[in-house]
Amino acid sequence: MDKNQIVLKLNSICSGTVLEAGEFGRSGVVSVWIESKTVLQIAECLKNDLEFQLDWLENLSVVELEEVVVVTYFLRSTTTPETLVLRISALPGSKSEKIVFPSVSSIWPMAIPFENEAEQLFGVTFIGKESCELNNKFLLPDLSHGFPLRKSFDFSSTGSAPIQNGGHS
Amino acid sequence: MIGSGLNSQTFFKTDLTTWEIGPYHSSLPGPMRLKLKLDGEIVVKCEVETGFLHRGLEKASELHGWPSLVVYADHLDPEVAVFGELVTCLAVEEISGITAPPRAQVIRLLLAELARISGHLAFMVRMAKAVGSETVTHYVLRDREKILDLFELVTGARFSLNFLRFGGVRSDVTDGFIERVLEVCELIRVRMKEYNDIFTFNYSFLQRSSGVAPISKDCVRFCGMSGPNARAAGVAFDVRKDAPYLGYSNLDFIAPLGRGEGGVLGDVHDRFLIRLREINESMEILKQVVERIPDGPFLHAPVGNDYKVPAGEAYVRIESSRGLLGCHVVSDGKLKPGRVQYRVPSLANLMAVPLITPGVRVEDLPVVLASLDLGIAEADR
Amino acid sequence: MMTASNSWMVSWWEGFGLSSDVPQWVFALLALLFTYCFVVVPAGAALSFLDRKFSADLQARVGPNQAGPAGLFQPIADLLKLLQKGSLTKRPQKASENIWLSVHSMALYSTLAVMPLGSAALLVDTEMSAFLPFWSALVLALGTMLLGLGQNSVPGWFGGIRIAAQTLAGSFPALIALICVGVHAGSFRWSALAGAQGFSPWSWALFSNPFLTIAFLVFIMSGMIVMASAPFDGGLALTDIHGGVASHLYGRRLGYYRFGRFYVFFLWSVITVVLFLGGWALPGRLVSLLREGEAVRVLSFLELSWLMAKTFLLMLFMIWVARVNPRSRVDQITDFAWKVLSPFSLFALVGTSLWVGWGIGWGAPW
Repeated sequence: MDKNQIVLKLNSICSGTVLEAGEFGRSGVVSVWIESKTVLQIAECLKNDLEFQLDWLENLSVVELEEVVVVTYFLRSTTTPETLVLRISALPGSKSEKIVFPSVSSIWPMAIPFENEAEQLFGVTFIGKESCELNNKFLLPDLSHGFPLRKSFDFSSTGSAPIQNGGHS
Repeated sequence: MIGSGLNSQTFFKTDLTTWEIGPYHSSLPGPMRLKLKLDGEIVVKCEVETGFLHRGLEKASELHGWPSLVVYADHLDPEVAVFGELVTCLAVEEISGITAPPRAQVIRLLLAELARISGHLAFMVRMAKAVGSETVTHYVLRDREKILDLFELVTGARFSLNFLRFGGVRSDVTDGFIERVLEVCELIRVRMKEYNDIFTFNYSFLQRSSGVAPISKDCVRFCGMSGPNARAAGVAFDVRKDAPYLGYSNLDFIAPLGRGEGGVLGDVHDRFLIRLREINESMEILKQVVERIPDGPFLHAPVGNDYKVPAGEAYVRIESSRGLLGCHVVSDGKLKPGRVQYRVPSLANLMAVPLITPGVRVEDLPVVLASLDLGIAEADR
Repeated sequence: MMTASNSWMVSWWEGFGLSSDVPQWVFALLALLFTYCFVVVPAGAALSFLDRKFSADLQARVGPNQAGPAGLFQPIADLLKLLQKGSLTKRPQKASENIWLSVHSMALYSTLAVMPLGSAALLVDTEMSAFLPFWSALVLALGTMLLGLGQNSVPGWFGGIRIAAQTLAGSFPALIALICVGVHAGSFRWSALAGAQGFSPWSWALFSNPFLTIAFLVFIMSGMIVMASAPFDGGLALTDIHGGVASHLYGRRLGYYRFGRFYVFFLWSVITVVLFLGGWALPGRLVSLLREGEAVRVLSFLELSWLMAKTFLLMLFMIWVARVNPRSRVDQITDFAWKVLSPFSLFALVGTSLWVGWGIGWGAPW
């Protein structure tokens, strides 16, 4: 599906939701940046709309780009060759402040382990997450000082700093 | 007379037992915990807990220079290290806009398929161990050594290869490598026939694997499963076919699908057979590829400690021996990666465990876990 | 038993070279000690070595080769290791373990007296003799079950219950198969059961009628189920219940427990050989020659060696089956015992009875 068509379609569901649309890296896959509040409605449309049928959340990746925490959904259809990259973002107030996004696990259940991981490593809380009998919520010891995958994370506060740059300067 | 509404199941109803297995236990594929509710010997509810092997791999990748990324990628799934390296290199190359020379691509493909065979043989070993067939365990391990010998011949290492480089491979293949690959293929072909006689079609093994813990297509879609487990359930998705990389599109091979030979589609027996068939397909690929290794350079440009990747991002997916392995790399143009994230197949497979185990007997639990080919190292990272 | 036993004791008197005014219990004790120290324990050591080497050859690996020439002293090294391993902390012994230990000892030593080891080496030769070894197997199973249940852990329960279920299921066809041989021989005395067979394989009970061949197969398979030996060892499985019954044993107790399992395996193999595979029968001419020369000790030794040779071959055969086949699930084992082995054993019993009753024969010497 063409980029402009996708933007039109998504905006027709939640007006003004699309912040930016472009290509993802050099891959040529359409990447759509949307308002994080509307992600649940958009996700429902992407999964159930006959033009998309993006029923497989292949990957959920959280990235910190210039202090903004970005959640990237890599979507794929199991029935058509369609793929899409969906992104939402938020700016955390401080290094130990949690960010809140709606959970898409009610639409794509395979998001649960990814969301569990992001909660601990990035301090992103996903609201409305479905329960799951796979529990990967205890990756870390108790860290009371930030989240390890954020750039602001201070290793000296954990008591054991990692070797930087593999020993060679 | 016992009331007509009562069957033996309700008449002999017992209290449920709670049993926790793990984190360390011989029936588990790695450190993980199962919280079981049992009715007699039958599993009623199974909760899975993972995270015991979390090493902070993704964070560690960010702390070091770009060339170190390959070393960390080795440890994503130490059993089949090539796939971690491959997906990382492909992602970095996509950001940089370089492609590996044809010779390097073929060497990569050779290593990837050898790793797939090695991974599937290790799967056979674990299956044989789970059903208590010690002899087959020893036989198959002996043959996997041959593949590890090939790795050693090319890279100097058997497990953590550290061989792939951004834009190629570290060194060229040595003389006689092709002949050795063909020899090993022939050896494994012969041995697989023996293993079929002694193990695959052994009556006891058929009894243990047929109809046990089938995966439905719905379960595959629910958990987002991929790879041999999903194909055993009849979901035809193979990255090598659907989004070819490394020139897989030029090769003649099939991605086998489950046929329900054990009575139910996607049961333990199907999952076992599909790996055997994939070993055969991988050997076909190897035979086609070794004959057309092109001449030329094996590395685009040397990779030094000050290697820089231009700002940008890429998401690359490949088919590892366990399923779809993805890698999302973000570069901010500095000496270290901005973010490296792996999409591993084993998390989806782990998610299926609570869905397929109810109704299974405790004795079959190790068999079911082995048949899913779970990689705890890559699931926890 | 003791009063009627003067006749069979004569050979032991002569064997030990003692006069007849020594009390009978001394003889009985000497005989038991002799059997235990010079037959059972060496057989255990030999079999553990043979098992290791044979399995290693079968599984494309080396096996023991460090202790002594070709690893010959490995059993001794194993024994010494297990003996010197004491408990790490002096923990109070649990009552259930004591029960198990006493039950285990009873099983281990009580049936030594019943073990048939040659025409002269028969301590108890009564009409019940052939049934008595079952006591050992059942009591060991009971002890193993108690050991599992006494662990107070889920693996222990499962191990214990599995052992109980499969022993119960396996005993029935085994007993029926035993009755088949008794019907064939006309008695359950060891002397009669062995006397009905000769040196030549064609005179063995195994081949003397087709129903006894079935009974033999049933007896072997149900024996493996009763003993919980390798393909049928769900109660001791390492994968799901990490050793089940035996999971908390170590050191001397583990050695003791393993030796008990070996003893039952050995006992079962010896009685299988005596019941079906010609027992200790040597060529008739050799036997009469030795008897004329009054060389009872030589005869006993030759008979014992011949019996042991057959027993070890049978045991290696069972180990081979165990190494090749994957482990069966307990519900499959009990199903197999009740639904397959039991009907076949009953069929064999009816067939043998008719065969014997109508006097059909291939010239077998009954």
